Amino acid sequence: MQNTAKIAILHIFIIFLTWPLTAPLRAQELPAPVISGNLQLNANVFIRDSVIGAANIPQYDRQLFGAESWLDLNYSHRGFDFGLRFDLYNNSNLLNPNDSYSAEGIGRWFIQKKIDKLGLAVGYLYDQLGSGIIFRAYEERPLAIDNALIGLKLTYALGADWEIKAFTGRQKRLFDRYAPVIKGFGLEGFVAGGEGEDAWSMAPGLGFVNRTYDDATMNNIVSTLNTYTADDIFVPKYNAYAFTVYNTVSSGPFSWYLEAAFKSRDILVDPFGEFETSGGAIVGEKLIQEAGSVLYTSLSYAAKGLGITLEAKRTGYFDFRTRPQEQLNLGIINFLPPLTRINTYRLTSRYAANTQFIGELAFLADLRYSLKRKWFFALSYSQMTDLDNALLYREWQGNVQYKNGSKWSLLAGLQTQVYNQAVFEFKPGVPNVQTLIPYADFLYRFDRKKSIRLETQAMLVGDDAKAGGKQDYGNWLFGLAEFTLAPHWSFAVADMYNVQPGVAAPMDANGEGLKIHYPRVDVYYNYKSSRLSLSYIKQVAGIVCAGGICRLEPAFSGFRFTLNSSF
Amino acid sequence: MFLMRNTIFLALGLTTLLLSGCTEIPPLVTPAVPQESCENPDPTRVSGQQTQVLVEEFTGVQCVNCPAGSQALEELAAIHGERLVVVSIHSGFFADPYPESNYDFQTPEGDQLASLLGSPLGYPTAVINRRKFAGESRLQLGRNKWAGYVAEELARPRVAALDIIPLLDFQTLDLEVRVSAFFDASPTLPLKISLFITEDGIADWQKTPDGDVPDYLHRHVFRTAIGPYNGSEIKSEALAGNVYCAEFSTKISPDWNRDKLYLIAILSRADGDLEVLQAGEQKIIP
Repeated sequence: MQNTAKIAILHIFIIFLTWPLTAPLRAQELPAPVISGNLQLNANVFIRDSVIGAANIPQYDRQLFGAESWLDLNYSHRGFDFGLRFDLYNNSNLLNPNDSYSAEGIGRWFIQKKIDKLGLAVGYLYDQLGSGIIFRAYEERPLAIDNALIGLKLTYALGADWEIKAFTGRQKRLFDRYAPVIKGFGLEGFVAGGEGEDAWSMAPGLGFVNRTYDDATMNNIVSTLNTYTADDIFVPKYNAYAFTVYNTVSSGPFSWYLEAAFKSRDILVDPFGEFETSGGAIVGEKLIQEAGSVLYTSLSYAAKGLGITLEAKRTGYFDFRTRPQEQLNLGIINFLPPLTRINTYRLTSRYAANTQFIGELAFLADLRYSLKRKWFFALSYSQMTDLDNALLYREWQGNVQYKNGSKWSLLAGLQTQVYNQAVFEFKPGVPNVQTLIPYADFLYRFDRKKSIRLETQAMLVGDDAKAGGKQDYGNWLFGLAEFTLAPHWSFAVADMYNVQPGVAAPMDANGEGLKIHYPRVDVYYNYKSSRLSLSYIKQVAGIVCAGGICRLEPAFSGFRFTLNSSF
Repeated sequence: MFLMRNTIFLALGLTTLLLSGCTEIPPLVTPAVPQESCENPDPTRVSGQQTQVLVEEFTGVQCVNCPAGSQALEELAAIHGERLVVVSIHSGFFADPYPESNYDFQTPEGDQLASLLGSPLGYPTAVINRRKFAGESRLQLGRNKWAGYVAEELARPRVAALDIIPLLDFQTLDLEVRVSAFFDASPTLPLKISLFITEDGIADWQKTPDGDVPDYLHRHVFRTAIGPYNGSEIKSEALAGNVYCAEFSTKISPDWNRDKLYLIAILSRADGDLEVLQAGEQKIIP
């Protein structure tokens, strides 16, 4: 953003912040202005531990401290909504876990106003069409995703239940923006009918998005294509068009969502592309130009004590980015909903399947049943393959929980996984990781204030016959004890122990796997709408996912302080 | 009230935080190498030299996608010829050697260069002329951006022609290097000259999409820097008009294949910007 623009925005914001102070002078009867906000702070102390791989990045080697912080301020008055966010990164490894990033400034601002049926918004906008398959501008701080659209959005209410919206802008990139332009529109509505048990409703919608490359982006693409042989070359297109249609039908205990999305021929990167070179055939990141499609459906049934969810998704060539040269989670315009179960226990979530943009066929079935509010049963199955039916991920999980009133509860479960590490982590030749994970979770309340929670888990992996050992990092044990002293304090102690190191685990000088403990100690403090935590963490390298987007995180060793405060 | 009631918690926490991380890896401090000014440099040796572009590729023997990146550089070299100067720096978490590896290509200077130029978001990655291009947030660039930015840099007008004259004593392995820069206009100081030694065609282990290959040919492997890894500042007294000439000396390792050693000279800005103005490459034993 230009400095003059920043100053102008700050002036506007200051005027509206001070508006209440001048209220007596204006002597008008107006609704009271509302100011709200949120502060989030993460601070890390890095303690080098080269044995587990927590080394060789600036933070461990010399910087020792790193922090990120976001301060959101929202102001509403006279039908206007104003937002301003200050972002700060000091020697932060959040954007790139292997590097250090320092910058600070205004990370977001927006102004919104509703004028009768017309709504308008300018600035850094978050929004989505449908489930986000063709467009989703959003923020996911744990993965440093901030895909805000810097631009303009108009909405118009077509009656009580229908709304049309249109937007245009460019995608945010840290404190700058990408050059390609994105624009689109959407139409959403709500229809209901019937009465009593025959009542039903529908929430149909459609959306359209267009992205246009700038000349510099296209010139860069052309230069890369000029290195390809005639078999692999193509004439690139400046514009890509994406269209989606979706609907939710609800009736009684049933709810059914269906979305179909299509994208015109667009340039994307095939990470496992094969192409001929002067040095022979190679496999690597290759630019291709393909039309894409996604079909996604979700059917749920919820009745007394019983809940069933069935989901399916087919993805073909649907990597939609502001420019194709962007890697990993950068420059993504859309969001493909993940169809694998979101696991929360430490070991059950260690191998998480990343959404595949090029080709994916995925299913999820989830069944929940409760008996007399004492027994709770859950069973789920998810599977992901590529479009050639090669297995990428499979998971079975079942658990049963018994609740003895509010005094104590015990949950026991079992998870099995098949995880295609070769594809998800670009490790060709390694076998699919097979896991068997029994787990238990026991909660006991001493009184209304004091409670203790105990977790125990074990991960047993298969053998890697080729490498001669247990797969990947091998077998694990995990234990956690958490003591809560409501309403303010909570203490947790955990350890993840590599009881039988695998072929990829850290080794000693003789090539023997090291049985390493990865302990963690947390202290949490809650006060009104603020939450503080101080943790000592030694964490093994692994996949970290948020909302279906994952990335490989290196090991961590050190202290972490967090503060989250709303006002 | 809140702070007062929890002073102990905060004080203990902050003290622990501040005291725990107190060890640091020191920077690599390299003493200046002998840099003698020289006389009678011959501009006719490089009079036809065009703008040449430096590509510093960051790679590793455990990086499965890096062979494809290296191949992409070969494709670019086939197009641009000697105007492309490639240095492959093995650094980062993919660069640890196999137990069976003959060599550890990692070097302290290479790690310092990674620190200087910023760690990549993913591999393969390269820095082109140490320039932060418009629309990019970092110097490190993914493979699908290289061709475009190389073309952009090649289109820039030449700033200087670089001449590299090595002289190797085969007995003592003492290496003397004369580097001359013939500027097309009066140069604006501060500027730096960096000298690297690379070795080409080393057969050793490499992870590839087809598995672990024991005799993969590693190209343009960064071996060391002569003098500071980030260059030696060009002194005004070493300039005679628009001509800079200096002689450097070092000793090469007996473990290196002297027949496949190259010298890389890099002329770069030193005013806080790292931008490379011209690069040159010369085989030590022609």
